[in-house]
Amino acid sequence: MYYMEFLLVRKILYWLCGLLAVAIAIVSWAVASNAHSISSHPHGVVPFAALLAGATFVSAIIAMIFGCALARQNAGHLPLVWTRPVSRDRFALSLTIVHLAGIAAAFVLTLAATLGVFAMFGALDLITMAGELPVTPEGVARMLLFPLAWYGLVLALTSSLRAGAGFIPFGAWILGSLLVALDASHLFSGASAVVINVIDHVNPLYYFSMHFDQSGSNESMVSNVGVAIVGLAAIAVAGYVAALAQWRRLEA
Amino acid sequence: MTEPIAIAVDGLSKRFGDVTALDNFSIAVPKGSIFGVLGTNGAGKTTAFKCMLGLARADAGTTLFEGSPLTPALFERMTYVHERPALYSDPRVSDHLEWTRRTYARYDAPRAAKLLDLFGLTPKKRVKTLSKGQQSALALTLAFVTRPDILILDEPASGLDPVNQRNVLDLLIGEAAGGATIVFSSHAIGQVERAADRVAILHRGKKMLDGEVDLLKADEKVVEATFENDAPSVNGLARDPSVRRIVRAGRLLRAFVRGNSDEVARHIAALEPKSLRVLDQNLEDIFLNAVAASDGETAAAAADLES
Repeated sequence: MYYMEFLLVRKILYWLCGLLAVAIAIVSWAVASNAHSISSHPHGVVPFAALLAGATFVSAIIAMIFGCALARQNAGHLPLVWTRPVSRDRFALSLTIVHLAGIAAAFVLTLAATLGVFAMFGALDLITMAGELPVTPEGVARMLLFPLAWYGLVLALTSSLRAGAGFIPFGAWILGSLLVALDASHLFSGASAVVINVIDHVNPLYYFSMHFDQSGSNESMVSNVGVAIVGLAAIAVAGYVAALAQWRRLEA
Repeated sequence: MTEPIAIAVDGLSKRFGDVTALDNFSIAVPKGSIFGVLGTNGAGKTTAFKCMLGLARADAGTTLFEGSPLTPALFERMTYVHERPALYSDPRVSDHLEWTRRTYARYDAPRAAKLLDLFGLTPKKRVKTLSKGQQSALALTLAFVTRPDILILDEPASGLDPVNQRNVLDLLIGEAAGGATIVFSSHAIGQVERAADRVAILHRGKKMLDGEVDLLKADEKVVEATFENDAPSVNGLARDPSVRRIVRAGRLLRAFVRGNSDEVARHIAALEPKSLRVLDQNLEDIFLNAVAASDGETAAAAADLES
């Protein structure tokens, strides 16, 4: 059932590989032309959690592209996909399985490319698991759930659209960033602040962003990682369920 | 002995807002037959097919396939070709075939090769580079390659060149001969007349008539008369309930009759035409009569208007 989606996911991953190769080339050129190596990094060490976060953001962007999958079917393909010998739910699930594999591959490819740059310049020993940003199982779980939350959210927002779904991921990211900024800014008070904060709870960026407290130091919007994990998982699952409920009810 | 019914559609209705797209549509399609659905643009053919297949929710009515409601598993033995090929544009012809191979246990690889050859399709070509006719041909290839027992085809020959239109009709006739049940719609009445055993005529969402093509044709006659001068008015005929439509064009008079045409022929003969003959109606005449009747152009009204 998933073969056509597999072809699309494979194509997007090829594009990602190309972009990563270009990024590596640019970094290599920059390092070489500045006549200093990564091993003379001003901060001394690079937290592995930061590399994971980079891979998380790239895989989140990929997840948002995959999140438009049902809308892509809606754009004229429903008479073909809904007359296959499988239920609509099973068809959608088969797409999701391919997407999850694609998101995981994007994460691994990005992380591998980043580590490859460090390896090229003999700077792998700069990467640390401890320090200010230690790698913890909870932190890794939060990072892995972040793209899945975006996937579920975009899927829910686009599953009943027949055209224009491609703009949703871009718009959702902008809106999400704006919402986090407003929530953290303390520009609003009273009911407005509560409304913004409530809406922000269905924004995956809320569980990943930092804000500055009154002393000037930055801290997570959601300091409890467990809460962030639950929030991201809830968005992913609720988004997926809402998307399927909408998609099942469409007419071809 | 009556043939078993493969598809039983009973009272399907569908509204889009204030518009009734399909109104109490019922047909019974015997197993192994070819059933043609004729209709003008917007007659409700595609809506009927979509409601039958669950692609649209009918407001009323039921469809049973071999006595049972539709389930996803039935699509292993049934296929649908949409009026506009619902193919993916970027993948290749071969990708669509591979997708079908992976989806259907009944996929027939040698047949796929034969169909590609028949329609002149190149496996490596991307769908977006194919012409409309080639895309239709690919959609049909994907439909026939699983050797389905039931085929529902919406305008299957649309966009095809005359050679491939003939190929499609031959395929339909061949499949039915092998026991498959086929329901298809077409604007090309000649195609329906050639392939279909039975036909239903839809107009403005309503079924105007259905039945076996041979019986319909045997029951419908046209009395055609040529006069020295302009054809005279035939007001008396308008009251004859067997007259479905009268057409006067210059010196030519045609009366379309259902049932016994002798009385109508006698009536026109009394007007002393230069020539008079009684012909079987073809499916196009039957279709136009049904559409005209629906539009309120009864024989009486037509005669009044033209006299």
